[in-house]
Amino acid sequence: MPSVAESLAERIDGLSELRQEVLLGNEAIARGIVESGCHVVASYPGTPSSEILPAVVRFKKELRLDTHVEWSINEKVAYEVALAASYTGKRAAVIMKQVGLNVAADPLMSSAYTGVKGGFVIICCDDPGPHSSQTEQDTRFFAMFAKVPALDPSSPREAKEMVKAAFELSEKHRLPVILRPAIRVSHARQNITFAPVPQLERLADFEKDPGRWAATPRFRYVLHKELNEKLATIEEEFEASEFNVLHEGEDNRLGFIAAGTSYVVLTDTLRELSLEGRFPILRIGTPHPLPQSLAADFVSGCDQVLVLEEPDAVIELQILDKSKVLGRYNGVVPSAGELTPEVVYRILAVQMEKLGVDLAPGIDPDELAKLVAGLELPIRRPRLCPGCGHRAAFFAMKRALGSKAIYPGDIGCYTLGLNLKAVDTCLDMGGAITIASGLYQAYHQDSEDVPIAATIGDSTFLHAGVPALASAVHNQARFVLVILDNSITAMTGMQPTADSGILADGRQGQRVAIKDLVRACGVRFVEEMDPYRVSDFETLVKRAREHTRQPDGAVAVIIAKRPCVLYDPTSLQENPVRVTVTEECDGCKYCLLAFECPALVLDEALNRVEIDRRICVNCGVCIEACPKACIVEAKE
Amino acid sequence: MDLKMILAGVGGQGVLFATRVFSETALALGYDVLGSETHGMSQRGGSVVSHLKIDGYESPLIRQGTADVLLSFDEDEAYRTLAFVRRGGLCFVSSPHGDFWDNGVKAYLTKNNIAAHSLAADEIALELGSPRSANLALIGYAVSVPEVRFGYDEIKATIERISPSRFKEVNLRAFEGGYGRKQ
Repeated sequence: MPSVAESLAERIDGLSELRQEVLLGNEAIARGIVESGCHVVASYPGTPSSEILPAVVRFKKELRLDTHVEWSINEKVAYEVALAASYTGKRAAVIMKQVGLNVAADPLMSSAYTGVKGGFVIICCDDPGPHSSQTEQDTRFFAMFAKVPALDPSSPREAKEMVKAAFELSEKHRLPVILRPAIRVSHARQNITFAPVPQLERLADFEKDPGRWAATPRFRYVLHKELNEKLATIEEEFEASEFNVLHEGEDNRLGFIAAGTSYVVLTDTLRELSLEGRFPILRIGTPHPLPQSLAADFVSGCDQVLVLEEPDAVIELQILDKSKVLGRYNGVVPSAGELTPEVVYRILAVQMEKLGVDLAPGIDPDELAKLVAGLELPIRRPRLCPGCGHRAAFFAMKRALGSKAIYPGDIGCYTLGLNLKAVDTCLDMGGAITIASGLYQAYHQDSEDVPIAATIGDSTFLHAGVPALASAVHNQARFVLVILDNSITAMTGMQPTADSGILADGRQGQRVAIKDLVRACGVRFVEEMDPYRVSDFETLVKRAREHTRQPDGAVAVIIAKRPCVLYDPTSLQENPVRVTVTEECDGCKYCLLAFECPALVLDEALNRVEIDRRICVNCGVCIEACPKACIVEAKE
Repeated sequence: MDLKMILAGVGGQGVLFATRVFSETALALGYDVLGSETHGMSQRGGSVVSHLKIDGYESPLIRQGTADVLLSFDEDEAYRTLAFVRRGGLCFVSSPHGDFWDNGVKAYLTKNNIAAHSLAADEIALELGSPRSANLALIGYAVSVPEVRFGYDEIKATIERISPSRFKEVNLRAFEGGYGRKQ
């Protein structure tokens, strides 16, 4: 039998030796996590962060690591589970998208004071654009707010190295460290070289220290002073960090301070314009705390300094002498939206003209933009998939309650109920239930009885819906709540939910049933139904609405159960309902607007709806969508 | 090699897989690859654009007017992403309508010396009974054009290596079907 050392060496040898793979930025980050010997990894999925934990699972399985991985029920929970592991001296990481940190802001602020023991890294992915988020908020501001250091990678390769550096930094200063990849790092792909994965032997050892781990306000003052000292020391270290690089230039009339994706967009653009090496560039990889001497020296050596960073002005804000700074605060850099290569080019073009630097003329993008605008191409908005159970539920709800009802919605695929006019609000995770409660109270105060029907997904309900529902019931709100249960977290790439009982690594865990939780919140009207039964579902929604109007009525909950068609198409494959459109179709477009299945398309020449067989999944639900009964089951 | 490529289409058309075919091939040839993908909400039937830069780049994004090659699996998406193509660049569009371009845009293509090819990739894939392999047919067609500096054998080897086993056969046939349509 080989010794532990031998088998470990073999394992490292077999998997590390210059092996390269094209990895997604998020997978490279996962690789950095396992190459740091991290013991506990917790996350809640959200674009652009969702692929990190599954990649940790992949490496865990390949290398037979005993890393604990979990999809926690929300980001606050994930944060605290990982944090506690750090209390015991183990290395831990928590992963989320930027708005997830709003949910975990409470433990972030507090743990900055208490500090940590084992390395503790918060990986929080930003979404400048935004591409798939409700805000463009900058996580680096959270780092400033909480007084913790932040690292900002420019590429997948660097993100992997920064994960390791973040663990070292956290352990050295006993402080949470934020790694902030933006979407163009998380969803970039790059060839990555694998390094060996160490086994960090650390047995859990929680040392009681109430003055720290259970600090009362008096101790918190002491801890705050300690935090300030740590931050000052870290700033000094950052002055010499390998992640901050000065590139000399020959023309000091303009210098650039750039970070993250903006830095690499800048350097590629300058190279394309044959301006590589002309202007000095200070690249900042440690945006908080900003190494002040490094920044001040750079600024003093230039006539003007253009700051490029995303999505907000975190470095710019920290630069003390702003007299030479060009950035967001004086409108040189736009204050919303992504700094794409086109935006950076336009910013550069203005500055180059001022400096009298000629740029080689390129293709004129405006000319083509005008031509294409003239074509009036159909807007390709995201839509629910063919066969999606959410569409059936929304359609039945609208039929039951009409367009005067108010439909608070939530975050997930089903936000696309917007297209069906069955989603009127979308605030944040769990917002459907709280907004429904507030709307009810506002109308009820005026003795108005307005139908309110909220929708929330299964994962979102578990994330933030449970306290919202308990509070609504307790405060005697009355509305219909439809929990759209497709048995998976679909939008972010099919992560299992607590209701399914399946764990992050595929093993079976303990199931937490949504229906039981709803009952435990004090709801008396709880019904479950497959929304494919459109007419029955419509009747059920009407019954639920009636329940809310009875003297002893309250919140009525319907659980719409239908597995995501992308995740589990088996029932459709077993019982396909093949539909066809009859010649009586008069092209009224009702089905296209009210039902909006991508597989229903208007044949303009015939002025008749047709079925796009390439994408139709034979769910047969659209038979209900034609008021003139022109969509029928096809005869074999 | 120094190549910048845009791949465009609609969610579900296999834009990301097509991108992998090129990036894995480039890596196998020993080049650095860097690219950017669309994930999340847009994958639900929205526009999907993927950027791929081979050899010597730092940023994953391609600036408009600088791409060497555009591969679009949809006519409308070709119009939307054509602005990425540089003067003298190439574009390949999956279209059943042959020379589908609007006259104004056609003049733009001529003026900027952009060679536009189109291929009825959906038909080729449908004939093979695998509509989802249309992306491979367009890749095959593109590879048959000498200016696209990827060889038939190299790309074929990658498709063989990275296709899920149940699609391998049909993917290869779609690739060869597209390659065989060379002019």
